[in-house]
Amino acid sequence: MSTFKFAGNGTAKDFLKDMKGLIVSLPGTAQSFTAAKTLAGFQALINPATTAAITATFLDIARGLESKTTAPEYITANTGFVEKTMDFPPRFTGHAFMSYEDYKTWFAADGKSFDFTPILADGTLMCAKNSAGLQVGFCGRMFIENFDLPKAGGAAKTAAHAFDIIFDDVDQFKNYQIVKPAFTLKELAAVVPVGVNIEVVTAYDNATGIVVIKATHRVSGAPCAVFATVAEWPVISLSNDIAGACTICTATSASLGIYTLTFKNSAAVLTGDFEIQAEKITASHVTYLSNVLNVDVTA
Amino acid sequence: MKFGSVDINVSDPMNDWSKWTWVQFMDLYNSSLKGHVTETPEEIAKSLGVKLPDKPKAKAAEA
Repeated sequence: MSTFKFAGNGTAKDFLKDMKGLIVSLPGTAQSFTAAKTLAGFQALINPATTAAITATFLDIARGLESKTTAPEYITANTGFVEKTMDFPPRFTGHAFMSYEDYKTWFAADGKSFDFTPILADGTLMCAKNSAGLQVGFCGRMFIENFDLPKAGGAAKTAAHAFDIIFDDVDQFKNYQIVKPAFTLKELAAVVPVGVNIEVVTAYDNATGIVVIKATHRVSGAPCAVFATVAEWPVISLSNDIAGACTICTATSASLGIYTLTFKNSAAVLTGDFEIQAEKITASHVTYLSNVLNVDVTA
Repeated sequence: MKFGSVDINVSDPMNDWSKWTWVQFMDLYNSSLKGHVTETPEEIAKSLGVKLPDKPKAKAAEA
């Protein structure tokens, strides 16, 4: 905490704007405060030139927010003397403005640690400063609240995509920084890559290495025709092989969202399950990004 | 490397096309490329750096 000094009263008495979103970043993601004021600074984290370099995304919580922060603990001595003995870090449930298919892509994040930078309605960022003087998010954990059946309607429907965010360090909040950026909330939301679903249409052929994949826009199901090169089908992980890549991408039926892909380890077929993710890079920015898809390989 | 609507990976550091045998390449051609490209196997192999099969040697002239 900084040294306390009387600092005057402003003439305007406005409230802090409501929180409308979060920048969710990998733990330790940092940038200069100069960069944090610019859209380009966050584009380097949210939609850089490669998917491997993505370290953050934007989570829109326009559907609501419920604070669940525990009230400070006060203890009254038997002399009647009252003292505050504990501050608790903020905790809330945010209801994300996203489709269920977007929500499903977050399931693998349940219980994971991230850094969170809240964004207020006017685009103001609430953030922390690390020991190097760089802008970072507040460290915390994310829990997915709804692994449940579809909600039947009403308020429960709008609260169906809930994230429990628990911040870890109350001291970070005591020192929080306010950054007035040069971009708006909507501009930040617009840089997040377009989400696409990919699914296996024809299973991996362990004689030829071919798998047929269908790519569609989320919810609408409209075909996505933008992944016509091998570079747009990176292998994310391999379970059994020491190497593997998309050797051939046949996009003859791309207008239908259908791609015939050959995945091999040099000349050999892959022998174990592998994960892929479709990505599209345009003008040095990731513009389309799919779910991570596990491709089953059976002997 | 693009051949019409087909893209072949020539930037995978783990895959050296020059080490593919002709038989391996023809297996790949027949399963993944045939019907989708207009180029011959030899033309694509040459572009990728796959070693082309040896041409049959001409019979030695009879003595």
